[in-house]
Amino acid sequence: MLRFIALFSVTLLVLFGVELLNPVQATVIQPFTGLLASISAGLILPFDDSVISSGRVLRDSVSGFAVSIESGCNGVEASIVLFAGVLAFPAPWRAKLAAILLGFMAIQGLNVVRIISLFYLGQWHYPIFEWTHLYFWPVLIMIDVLLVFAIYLNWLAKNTSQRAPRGS
Amino acid sequence: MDHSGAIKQQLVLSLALLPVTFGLWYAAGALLAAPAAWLASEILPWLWPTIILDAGFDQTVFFVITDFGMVDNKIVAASLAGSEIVLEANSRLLSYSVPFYAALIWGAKLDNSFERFAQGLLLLWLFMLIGLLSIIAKDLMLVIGEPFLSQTALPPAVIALAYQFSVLLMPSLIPPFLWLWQIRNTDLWQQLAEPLQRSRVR
Repeated sequence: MLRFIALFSVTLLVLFGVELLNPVQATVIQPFTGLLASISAGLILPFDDSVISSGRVLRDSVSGFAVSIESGCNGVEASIVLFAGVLAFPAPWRAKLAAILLGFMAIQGLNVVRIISLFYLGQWHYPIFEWTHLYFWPVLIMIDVLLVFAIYLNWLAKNTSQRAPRGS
Repeated sequence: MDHSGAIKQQLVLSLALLPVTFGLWYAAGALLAAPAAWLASEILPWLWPTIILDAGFDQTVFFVITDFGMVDNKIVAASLAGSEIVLEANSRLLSYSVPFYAALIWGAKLDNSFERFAQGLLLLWLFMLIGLLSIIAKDLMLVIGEPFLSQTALPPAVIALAYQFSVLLMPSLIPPFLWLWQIRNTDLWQQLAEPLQRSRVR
């Protein structure tokens, strides 16, 4: 377990360091954050045609309220935590890759729900928007990471128990 | 109980407890961050005596009074400006780790849960302290700028990284770590660690 914690911590630090590099921000993180705004707008548009996305900003053309998706709100940090956990845990590379891809989708799926919910909470009641944005959603996203990792462990447990008789 | 059953129980209980623990945290106001804020108010004027005149805690806001003021949009000594720049940090940005941790610990239905919670709280206060120091260092770097940077050995990139880690990541990451530490030697831990043990056997 100590080996896992050490590997996890080192991987986390390395991935965070890479994420903060200017070229990575410019070529990966910022375009991806803009994509999140576009996806959120695309999901809202069939129900509410007053939403406009521009870069990282999601705006309501009627009320003028806008949310800008900043670092820390794009789910990248939460995804990095999951990646570090999956990479540090001993498993076949194919399983790790599947966990990273599916886990990333699960985290970003919930993150889009967060963005859309905050967009409407901000228009409805600003103090509640602030409260959920700053305190409640980060916790829910981290629980999502834990859940995805637990599901991955469960899958690994079943997978290894099926393979064990052949391997031993 | 099978592996997924134990995890489900933990998840459902923790999610159910979250509104309760967050409600208590909100009602507690400054209380849960007070030890970390008090330590920060003692450390900061000692750490940067020529930058910070005083520091304190008001409601949930931690503040520092700097020895700098502003004249014509330029940073000058407070004695020249006739006023001091005050920097504020919202302690709730860090202390929300406490209700998260509480929901995880009580969701695990452990023996001596109050004792385990108290042990974790001590560590959370330490991380809150680091967070408060990081917020103030980041604000000093952005607001005061060169006069601050010339008197600290910390490069701007380190301050930015410390802020990123201790404020944006740690409050939501440390509680699961502490929870994992607290559930060691329990049935839930055995079930969680099963794949790891199997991978070692293979």
